[in-house]
Amino acid sequence: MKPSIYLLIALELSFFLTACSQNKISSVDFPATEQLFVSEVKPIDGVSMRYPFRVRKNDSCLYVMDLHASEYYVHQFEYPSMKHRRSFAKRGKGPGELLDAENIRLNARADCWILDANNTTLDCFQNNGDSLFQGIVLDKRLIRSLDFDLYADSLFIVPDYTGTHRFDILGPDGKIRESRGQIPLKKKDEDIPAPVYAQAWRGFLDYNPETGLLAIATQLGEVIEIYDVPGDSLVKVIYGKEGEPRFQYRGGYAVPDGIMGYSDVWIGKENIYALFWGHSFKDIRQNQSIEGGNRIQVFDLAGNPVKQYFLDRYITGFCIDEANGIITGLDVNSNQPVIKFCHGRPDPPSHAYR
Amino acid sequence: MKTKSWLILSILMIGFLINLPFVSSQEYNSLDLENIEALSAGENGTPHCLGLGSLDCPVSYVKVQVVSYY
Repeated sequence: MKPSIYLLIALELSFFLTACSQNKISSVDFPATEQLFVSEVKPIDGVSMRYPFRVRKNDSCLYVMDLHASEYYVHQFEYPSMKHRRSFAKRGKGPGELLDAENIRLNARADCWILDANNTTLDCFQNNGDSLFQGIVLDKRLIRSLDFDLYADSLFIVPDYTGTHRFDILGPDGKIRESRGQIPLKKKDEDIPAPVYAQAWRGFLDYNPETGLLAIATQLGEVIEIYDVPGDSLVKVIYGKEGEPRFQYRGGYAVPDGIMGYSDVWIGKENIYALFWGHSFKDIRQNQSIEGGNRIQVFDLAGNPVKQYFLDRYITGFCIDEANGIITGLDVNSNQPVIKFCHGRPDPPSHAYR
Repeated sequence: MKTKSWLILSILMIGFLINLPFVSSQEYNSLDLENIEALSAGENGTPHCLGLGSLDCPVSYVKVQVVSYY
């Protein structure tokens, strides 16, 4: 056989091996999947929402945050009756009004904290009050925080948008106390500024004080990071099949590319739950996708995959009653957005609403 | 021998062709074409934000469905 043939064989083998390794994107295999059907629609009368995005629940009430509110950002309902109790956090430029609401959190006293990214404030509305009780102006070094959670007694955790760290711990005065972690880039392009990476790696977070764990799920791509905050350590970075956030660096900005990833994450006592969309931006631009995600990925507290739920609706946010196996979700495509799923229901119910 | 060599070469060529990037014959809609033109136009300009969604528009700070580049 001619030597040139051997050369060709060697070249071809190396080509094949390279192609194979590029196709081995880190993927998460879930050992179990479960189809979940809506078990109940919680009708809301007299309250209109344009884009319900966050839902929080305590023993007696359910709170829904409208990301695109025309008047009030937060609506409170008695639970389980869903009787409307009040709407608060008025949209506007006046005193005590909000320009924007990114997320809401309830403290032990059922006070509602809201992040207003455009005013760069954290605002507190007391349980029995309709007007702003306390507003904290955030540290200017944060640039523009897009999510938050409550930490310890009076502190806050926000994702870092400078790109130099992954998250910041803020004091009761809104000033940075500590900055921790790094964006888990596999490869960094030195020509791309750090804040651009922070834009692309924008993540939704959740902190559980009982476990001390913080989870950050990326809005682009499919990455979840788990941190032990009291222990100041990274527990795990979970790279899903879609991998790191993809973007185009254009005009000084990170223009989203690839897929829409996660839009909500929650850490329970036993597991971590993340709502995944998976729509490509190509489909989104061509109006070929439904708003929301229909997959809830479940991991144990060490970041190992446990199960993936497939929902029969597309939701933007959720909260979970882990003990009773109930997921409350927000279907932005429906005029009755608050819906309930139960684990392990054998037969799909007939749907009263869509 | 010659036959064997040709056979091996053919197999190698098939393998090479399989791994070539697949070019689809999809039709591009007008928005895709605008995007392609924008990419070839250079890095000047600002992103364009469309629709109602949860993506943060880096220009207007409004939540949108699509952020693209013109």
